[in-house]
Amino acid sequence: MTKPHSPIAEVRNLADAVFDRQIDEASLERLQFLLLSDISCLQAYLERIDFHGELRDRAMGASAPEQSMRVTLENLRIVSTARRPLRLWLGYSALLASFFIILLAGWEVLSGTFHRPVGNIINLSDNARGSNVGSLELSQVIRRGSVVSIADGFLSLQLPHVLVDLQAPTTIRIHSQGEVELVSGTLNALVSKGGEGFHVRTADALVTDLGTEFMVEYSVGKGTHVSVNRGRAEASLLDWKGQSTKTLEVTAGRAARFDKQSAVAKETEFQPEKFQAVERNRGKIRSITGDIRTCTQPPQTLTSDQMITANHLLVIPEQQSVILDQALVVNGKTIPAGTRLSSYLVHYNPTADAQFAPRGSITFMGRIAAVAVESRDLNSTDTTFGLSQSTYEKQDFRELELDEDEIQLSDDQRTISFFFGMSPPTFLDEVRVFVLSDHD
Amino acid sequence: MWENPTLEAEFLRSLGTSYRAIYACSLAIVGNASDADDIVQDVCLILWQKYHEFDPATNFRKWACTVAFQVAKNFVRKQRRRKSFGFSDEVLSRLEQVRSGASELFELRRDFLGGCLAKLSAQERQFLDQCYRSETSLVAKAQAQGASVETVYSRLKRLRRKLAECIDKTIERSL
Repeated sequence: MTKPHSPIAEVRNLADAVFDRQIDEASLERLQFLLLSDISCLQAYLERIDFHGELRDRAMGASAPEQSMRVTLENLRIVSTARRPLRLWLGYSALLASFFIILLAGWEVLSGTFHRPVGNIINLSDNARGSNVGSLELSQVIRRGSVVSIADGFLSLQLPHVLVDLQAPTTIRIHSQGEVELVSGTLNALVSKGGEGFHVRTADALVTDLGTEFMVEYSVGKGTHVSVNRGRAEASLLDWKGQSTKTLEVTAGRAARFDKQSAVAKETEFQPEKFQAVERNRGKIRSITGDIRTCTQPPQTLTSDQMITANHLLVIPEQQSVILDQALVVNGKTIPAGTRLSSYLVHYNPTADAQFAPRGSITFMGRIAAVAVESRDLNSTDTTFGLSQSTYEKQDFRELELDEDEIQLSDDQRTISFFFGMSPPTFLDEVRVFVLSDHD
Repeated sequence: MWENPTLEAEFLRSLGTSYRAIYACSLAIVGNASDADDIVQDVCLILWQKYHEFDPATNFRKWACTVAFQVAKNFVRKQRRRKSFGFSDEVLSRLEQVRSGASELFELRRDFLGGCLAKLSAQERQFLDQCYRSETSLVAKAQAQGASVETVYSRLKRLRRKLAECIDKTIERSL
C-alpha cells in the first residue's frame, strides 16, 4: 500500500478507518501522533468524521434524526413512567436494588440464561431500516433482553412456535422466548401449536395467547388495541403496579381497547384491513434468506427498469387463496381445477453497474405447486394472479435465462432457492411461484 | 417531568433543535456511527434527568453538547481500558476544543457537501447511500453479498476522495 502524500491526506485515510471501524492499534497510534503534532491535522480529522456523519444522515433519509429522536423519547417516557411510583423510596431503594441487581446478574450469568438467543429475523422488507437502538439484518439472532426497533418497513421474527411481525415504526423488547414488551407501534403474533401462553405486554395491558393470530397496537396517549384474527386471546388491563385489574377474552373477529389512564377496558370495532396489511407484506411466507426482500407497498409498475432492485431479489405477495375454475398448466405441469393457490412474484431488475449477483431462498407455509419461469406462463397468469394495481412487463426478456439463472426446489416442496445472473441489455428476470393454500 | 406538559413541550422543542448537534459532538469523539447512536441515547436521558438544573436564559445546545462530549469521552475511556488502546485524554480534550470552536465551519462544509453530492451520478449516489445506510461494517456487508471487499472499498474510497476534493474546491472558490 502506498503512503499518502501529505499528513492531511494520511489523517483523512485514518479517519475513514476509524469511521469504518477498521482501525488497528498501530494506525491509531500514528493518528494520535498526527493529531497532537499539528492542529490542521486535528481540524482535518474532525472535518472528515463530520463528513461521514453527514453522508450517513443523508443516506438514512431526511427523517432519520426525527425518527431516532422519537425512539429516544419513547424510551425516556418508559423510564419516566417506571420511576414515578418509586420516587419517594428512591434513596433507600437504590442501595437495596443495586444489591439485588448484582445478585440477579450474577445468577443470570452463572445460569447461562442472560442474553440467550431466543429467535432470529426471518423476513425484512426492501425498505426496512432499524432505528438507532440496533441494527437489522436478515437471519440476525435475537437475544433475550434485546430491543428490536424498526423505523421504516416491515420485519418478521421467529421465536419458538411464534411468528412475530412488526410494522414500522415499532419498538419491542424481548423479555424471554414467551414474552415480548411492545414499547410502541404494531405487533402481529401468529402462534402455532406449542406456543400457547405467549405474552405481549404494553404499558396498559398484558395479552396472553390462547392459540391464535392476534395484533397489538400501542402508542403513548392512545392506549392499547388488541385485535384477534383467528382463535382467541385473553387481555388484561394493568394498573400502575403492573397488576391486572380487568380481563377480557377476545375471540376471532373481535377487538378491544385498554387504557390505563382512564381505566378503560372495552370491546371496539374489529378492523380486518389491519390483518390484510400483514397479508400484503408477508403473505404465507415462512421465511426468507440471503439477498431476498419483501415489499410493503405493491409496486405500481413492474415493467423493465421501472422497479430497480439493485442488489436483491424482491418477492411480492400477489393474489392469495385463488380457487382455480379450470385446470392451470404451468411449465408443463397441470394443476387441476378447484385447487386453491396463492401467488408470489420474484422480481429482479438490477442496473448495469450492479455489484453482486444475488442469491437467496424463500420458504412458504404451504407446498409449492408450480413455478412459472417462461414469459408465456408469466404473461398468461398476470391477470388471474397478478396485482390489479400493478402493470407487468409483457416482453420475452422477463423470463429466466436458463443458461445463467438457477432455481432449485427443496425435497419437501416448500423452499425455493434462486441465483440470478445479470445479462445486458435488459436485466429483468421474473419468476411466479404458485403455493398451495390448503393450509388456510 | 412528563407530568408537566409545558415543561415537556419545552424540553422536546429544545432537544429537537439540538439533536443533530448532539449527534455530531458524540461522533467527533467516538468516531463511528454505531457508538455515537448509543451515546446520543445516554445523553438524552441525562439531559432529561438534569433539565430542572438547566437555566433557560442560557444556550440549550451548548449545554447539551457539553454533556455529549463528557459522555462520549467517558465511553472512549472505558473502551480504551477494555481494548488497551484508544485515544488519549489529551487527544480527546483537543478534539472537543476544536469541534466546539469551529462548529460554524463544519456547518458550512456540510452545506457544500450537499452541492457536491448533487453532482454525482444517480448510480454513484445509490452506491454511496447503500454503503452508509448499512448498520453493519462495510466488510461484513460486502462479505454477506458475496462481493470482493476490495472492489467495494476502493469504489467507496474513490467517491469519498471525489467529494472531499469538491468540498475543498468549493471552499477555495468562496474565499
